[in-house]
Amino acid sequence: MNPRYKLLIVIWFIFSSALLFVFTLKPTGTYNTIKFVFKKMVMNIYPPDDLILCDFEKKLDFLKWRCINSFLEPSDKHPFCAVNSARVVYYPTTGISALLTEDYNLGLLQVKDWSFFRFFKFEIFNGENLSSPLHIKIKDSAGRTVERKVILQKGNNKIVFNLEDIGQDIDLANVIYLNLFFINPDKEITLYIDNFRLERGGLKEKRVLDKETLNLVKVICPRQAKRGEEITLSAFLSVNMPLKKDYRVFIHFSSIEEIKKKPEQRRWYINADHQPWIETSKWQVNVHYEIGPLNIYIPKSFPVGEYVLQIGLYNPNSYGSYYSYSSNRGMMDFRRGFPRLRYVNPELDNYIVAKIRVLN
Amino acid sequence: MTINLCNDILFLMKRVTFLLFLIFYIFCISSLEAKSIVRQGEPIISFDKLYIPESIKQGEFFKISAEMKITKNIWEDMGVFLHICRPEDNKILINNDFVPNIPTTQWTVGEIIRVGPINSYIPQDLPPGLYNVCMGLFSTKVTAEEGVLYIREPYTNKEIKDFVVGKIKVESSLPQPVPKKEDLLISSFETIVDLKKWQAVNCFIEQNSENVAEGSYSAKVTYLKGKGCCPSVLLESFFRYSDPRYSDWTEYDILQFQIYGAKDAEGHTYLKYPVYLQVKDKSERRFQWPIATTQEKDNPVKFILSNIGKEVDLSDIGNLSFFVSGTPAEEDWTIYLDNIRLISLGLERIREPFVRFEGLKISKDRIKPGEEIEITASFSISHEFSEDYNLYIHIYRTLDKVGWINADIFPSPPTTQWKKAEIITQGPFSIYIPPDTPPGKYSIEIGLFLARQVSVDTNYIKYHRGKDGVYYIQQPSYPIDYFKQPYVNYEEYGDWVVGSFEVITP
Repeated sequence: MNPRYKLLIVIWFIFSSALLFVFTLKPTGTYNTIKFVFKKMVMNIYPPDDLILCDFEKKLDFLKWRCINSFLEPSDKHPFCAVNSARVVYYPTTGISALLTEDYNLGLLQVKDWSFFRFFKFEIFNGENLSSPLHIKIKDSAGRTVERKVILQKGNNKIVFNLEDIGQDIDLANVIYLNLFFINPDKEITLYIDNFRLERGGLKEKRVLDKETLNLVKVICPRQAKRGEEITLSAFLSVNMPLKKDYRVFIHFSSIEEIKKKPEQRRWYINADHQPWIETSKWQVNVHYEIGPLNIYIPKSFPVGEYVLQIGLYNPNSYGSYYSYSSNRGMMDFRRGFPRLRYVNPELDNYIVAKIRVLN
Repeated sequence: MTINLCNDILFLMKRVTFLLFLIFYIFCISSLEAKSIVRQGEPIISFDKLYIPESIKQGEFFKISAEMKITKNIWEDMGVFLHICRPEDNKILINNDFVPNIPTTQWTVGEIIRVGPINSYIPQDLPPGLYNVCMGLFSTKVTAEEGVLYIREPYTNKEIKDFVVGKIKVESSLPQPVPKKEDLLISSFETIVDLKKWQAVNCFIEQNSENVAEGSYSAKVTYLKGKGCCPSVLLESFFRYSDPRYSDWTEYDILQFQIYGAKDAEGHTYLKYPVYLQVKDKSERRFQWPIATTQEKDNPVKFILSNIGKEVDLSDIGNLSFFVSGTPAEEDWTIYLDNIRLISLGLERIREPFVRFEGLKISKDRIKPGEEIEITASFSISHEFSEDYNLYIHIYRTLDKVGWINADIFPSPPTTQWKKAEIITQGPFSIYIPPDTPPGKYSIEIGLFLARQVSVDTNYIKYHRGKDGVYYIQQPSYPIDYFKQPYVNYEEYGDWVVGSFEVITP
């Protein structure tokens, strides 16, 4: 047989097997994955001004939600966009009564990356006077959580999350969970919810929290140290925009050989994390703030060799249970358990601000 | 999952029951004439290896472990006996029995099992020389005729005679005089580095040169108004990155500092506000104490570390703070702190017994159930107590330990006020014998004890000398452990059994 025909038969065989795999074995998942990848590519190039996550106009919108001690159904009352809304009934219980949606693969309501937007919004109609607050919880894929309590007024309620704010607690590029719940509701509560959406809100940059914020001005520390002695170190930091949160300082002194390990797995390691002398929420733009001076003791048990000093700021109120793979740019760094502030200094790799040789 | 949970609970209960059973017998070993026999039949245990230092000095700790394997399954939970014996006649001098980490019922045939390591101790007065180490598995049985019977498991190893699995050389060590340590200054606030190791939560801390107790500066702490719980100034991360001697307070006796307020019209510097001292160890156990508002600049506050050590692990301090439980809406609270230091009094750390049981008075030798008995105990001491101990009275039937009566009492006066070379009498205590108490001979145990939280990695052992002259070594039990004061006159009261009476049929 002509070798060209042989090649054609092989190609045809591979192609048909791929088709069989794609459309027969996992058609919905594969289709959704292709759609998701395509959507992400498009959003990366042309982020839309508004993105509807869920408007309860299609049957599929209802299938994305899970009810715990609650009930969800379509309704034509109190729609905030188009013609339908969702009627949620929270039943009285001694635990939580919740309406939640989660998707670890494709992201919350099939949009995992919220970092192109400034606001997350939705509307709730409440027909009664409520004393207990509605809890709204959002999580990223590493389990970091933001929770807000809202006392719902009688009538229409517009719920707005500023993503510039919550983006310092959770990784906006990996949002996978939303829960609207009441704790110990003592009576049946009926709400009409609608129009979950993301809005850019006049965001000039491509992404929210797009710019690195923290500047390392200088570090004062010795180049060499002896085991069994103390070294005195200071670092001067500044910020190029006001910080709304109180960050903590991390100071890690560890052997250069173990720098790739998680801190808790390092053997030759000193942790001097602490609260900065002045809360970071009170830091003024471009003013130099001194971290230290601190006297750090090098134990006699540490081996002689090269050590590194890592200094930076981290958000102590938000912890991810594992290391997530996240964007390599922007104000926040979510590659470790706690979110850290990125440096503007391009030369700083992995927050290493100095190298110190430990001698005998 | 439920089944797993049930299994776990059952397993835990089994372990705890066995442990209690073992401790029970270790403590009560000499009150019954215990006999030890070797199980007859085919041996099923092979001894493989002993891990023990070749030599050890008097008064030192060491770790010991062994490897063994079985040729058949064991169907009951057994203990490990570990004895240091005299080589001439194999007389037991130190008894260090323990429970294996993996229960013997879970040992797999052919697999090498490591028992231990456990901490052991060579008492200061054990004569130097070469001693036998005897080790093996044992189970216990109580018989009416013979009392407690220890059944030892024989080894398949023919070369092991009388369970002697190794030797240890005990070397002499002259007792070292305890030098008075220099004070350890934690903070004098004289330098910026010293000031900046402190952290402030809802308050400010700054150097102050006007209202100073010692040196050129003190710390002025301003607790901000209108704050809830709890504005505090604290040392926390400092204990992680500083010299380890700052975290280890065990060789010191007193935590001293000056805390005071601004000078009033009469020139007094009273501390006006309710400030609390908090000391935490790295396992988050905490000690909190309110500081009296009568404190003045010239009058340093002193905390006895042995009292703090009842709550926290003094060898691993992780937090020292001064906090207020809240501030009023209308004013900031300002206090001054200076000269925080640890002081050693150069006290000898007493490791040998110093309490002598002087005698017991019982109102009746024979008593009917439903009646009361009066007990009076007398003690004397050769060193003064540095801590306040509790007094316990345990009453139980001698033969089978049933009919337990527990009476824990706080001694009056407290043990820290007991004077050397005086007879201190405690009681009389009236103890009611319940109507359902079975008849028989009853033992009375009386002793002084401390209850203390211990961390999992605590590296200590407890030992006392029984009536038979054997040192009994006991491992700590978590998370609360009981420290009993041994008696000097161990030949009479080595196991704290100080007397007996008889309950007769009404």
